[in-house]
Amino acid sequence: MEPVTLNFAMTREDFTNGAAARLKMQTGGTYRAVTRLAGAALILTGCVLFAFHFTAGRPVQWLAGLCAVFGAFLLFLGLQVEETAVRRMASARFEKGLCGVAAQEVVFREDGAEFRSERYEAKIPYEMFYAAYADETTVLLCTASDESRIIPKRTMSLEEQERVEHLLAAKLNRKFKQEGAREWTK
Amino acid sequence: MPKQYDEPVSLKQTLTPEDYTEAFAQVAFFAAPMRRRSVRALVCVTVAAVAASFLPLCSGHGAARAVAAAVAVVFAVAAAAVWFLGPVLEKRRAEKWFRSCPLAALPSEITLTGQSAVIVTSCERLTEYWTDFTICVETDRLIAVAGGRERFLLVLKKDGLPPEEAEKLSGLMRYVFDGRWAGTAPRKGGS
Repeated sequence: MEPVTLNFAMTREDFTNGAAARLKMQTGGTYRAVTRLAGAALILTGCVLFAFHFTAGRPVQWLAGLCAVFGAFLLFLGLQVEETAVRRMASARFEKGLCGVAAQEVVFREDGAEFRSERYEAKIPYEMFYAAYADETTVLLCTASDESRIIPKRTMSLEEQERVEHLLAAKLNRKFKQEGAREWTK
Repeated sequence: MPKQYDEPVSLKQTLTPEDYTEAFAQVAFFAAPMRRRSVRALVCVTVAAVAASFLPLCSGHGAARAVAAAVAVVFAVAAAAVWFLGPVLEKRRAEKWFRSCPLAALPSEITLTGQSAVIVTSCERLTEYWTDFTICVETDRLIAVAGGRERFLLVLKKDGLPPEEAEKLSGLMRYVFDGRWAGTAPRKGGS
């Protein structure tokens, strides 16, 4: 396989997209489903409490209102607010210069990935990666549970993106997750 | 910079899970004093005690008494959980991280100067500058430095070093970190 070589400088958008991708990787489908279910359950609880208030005259209208409002937040806004907060924090870190060295080279080879920047040089076999993740803007290569290298997809052509994703899927198997791909189609 | 630190200090080491968990625990202890288990347990005990103190005052109100009793019990249990389970969970978290990063367990050669540390393994070469780190914690066995850009926790083992080298390493880290140095190893002279 011909190596895929990428040279890029990290921009603020790349860094925030990477942070959002990391959030999506760590909070899988189950977390999102449970959050939405919890929101729906709270709204239902609010409705039941309102029914108690109007039928049995119990003074629970404030509690009912709180449940309904919090439930609506969880159901409709919770995940978006979480992603917005993560993006904002990432943007602040970028402003402070905490995103690491901007300019770097990444090479995807058959046997591993190479990274080169001012502070970091590595040739890492795929089996030593903890995980990998790809969404519509970013590929993440994780060297540990809280360490990841951000590779923006804007630096790759469509053909290169497909080659990289096929390579990661073949080498990492279940450690590679793609946003939107279902388990049984990988 | 004092002349004795002009020469770089080199060491070769291979980290074990025990090294990493000890370093992790020491950094957590010194970097976040308000999150120590003694402080958190004390807060829980205080809340439990305050809630329990309301019990005699609520003698005529069943619901309030129940709430006060529940809060007292919950926070008393929380205090016990923080005290006994806290270190176990912290150790598990550190071990889990170490298992997730096979790169951290590779044999490494570390070269330390007054400005930076260069860590070389068979897969990686990392350069970390001391100005990025937030704290240095020294024990009798090792030095843990937290806040790196490429890898958050840098662990330097003093075990196995000749006494002069260990002293030189210790002196260099105390000089570089000065006010950001903390630890259980005795300070000798000035930094």
